[in-house]
Amino acid sequence: MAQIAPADSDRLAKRIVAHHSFPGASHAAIERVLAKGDCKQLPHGALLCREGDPGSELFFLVRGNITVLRKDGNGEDRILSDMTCPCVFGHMSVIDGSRRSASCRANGPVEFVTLTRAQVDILLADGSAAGVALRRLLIASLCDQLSSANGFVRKLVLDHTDGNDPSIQKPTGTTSKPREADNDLRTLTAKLGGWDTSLSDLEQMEKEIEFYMDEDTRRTLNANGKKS
Amino acid sequence: MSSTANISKMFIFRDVPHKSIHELCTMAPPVSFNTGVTIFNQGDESDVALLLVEGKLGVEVSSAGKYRDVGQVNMGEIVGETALFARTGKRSATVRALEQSQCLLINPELLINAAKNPAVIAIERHLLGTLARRIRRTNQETAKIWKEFDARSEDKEPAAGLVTRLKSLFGGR
Repeated sequence: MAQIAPADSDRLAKRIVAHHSFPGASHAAIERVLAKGDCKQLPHGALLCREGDPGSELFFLVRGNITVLRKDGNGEDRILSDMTCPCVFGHMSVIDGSRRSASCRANGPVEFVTLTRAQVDILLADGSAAGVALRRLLIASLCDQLSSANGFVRKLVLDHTDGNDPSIQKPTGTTSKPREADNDLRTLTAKLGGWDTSLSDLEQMEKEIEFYMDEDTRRTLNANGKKS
Repeated sequence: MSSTANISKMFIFRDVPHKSIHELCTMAPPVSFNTGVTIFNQGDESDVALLLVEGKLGVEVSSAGKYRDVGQVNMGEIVGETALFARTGKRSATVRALEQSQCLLINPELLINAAKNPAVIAIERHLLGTLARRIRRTNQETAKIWKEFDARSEDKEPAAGLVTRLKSLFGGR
């Protein structure tokens, strides 16, 4: 197992803290997280993770660029986005146990740090500085991801509104841009192509979560019933 | 029954020692809201999230002076976490108490001063799962809408149908 070089760790940790906002953010704590991982290098074109595989590790990109791909309904790879340092990726599958929703390919030589699922599980339950930092970094990353997804949809709605619908209020100074809206629709097409494969997994996950919520409610109701 | 005892029974705190729950409640005493009270407004600046320990909250998004219900918060759920963990810092929705409710207020001071408290760790792990579920659900719903839209792409006004469905999910802003 190779550790990240101290200079790279310091640089990456500082960039992560500058990029994400979370209470108690400390680059020293992020460096402790990075020190637990395995630092690897891959050549251009190599796959870091493959769509449909189990999420066995999460990644911190140290150097280089990553292309995110998803197969469409015809089995063709579509490019969803490109990622550069600093970024943490591959964490959704590790957090919720779902399979990889996309593939990540090296666009040029890359260097990255991986944490195994077992390491992540230990850190997420841990009260150490590294545990706190990883939990909050992942929460901040997911908040950004959710805000971005909602913002994208809202922008799409705004761009497709011609001002005749009184229930939609555009911010002052916003004008409709049909050409930009068309580009957004094309982006959405690319992002959503071939999503069928994971729907059953998602529905199962939803049921499990609902079960937990029901269980919580039931326990409290039982407790209140005993009280009365 | 005391607030601490009630909170100890919550599923997310199932593995947390009673002592840690007591410490949490000392640092962040549960706050009560009467039915109908607005807890925070869309557009407000804030850095506090709520963990609902009793009651039910309603989430609304306003647009052009009209309010649209976009969901409910049930016991054990967290709301307003973006104010703590994202740079925007502004409330994206209005939250009201639909019934007499009690919440734990989670602010940066609590997270910094009680970072090692197992109850805080449990809240953060719960939040991770909640966010992952919301992202998956958002993507899933958007994908379903897009599939329907794509299937009707030869309609005269396909974008209008798409926008209507998106509006119903995400509000009109």
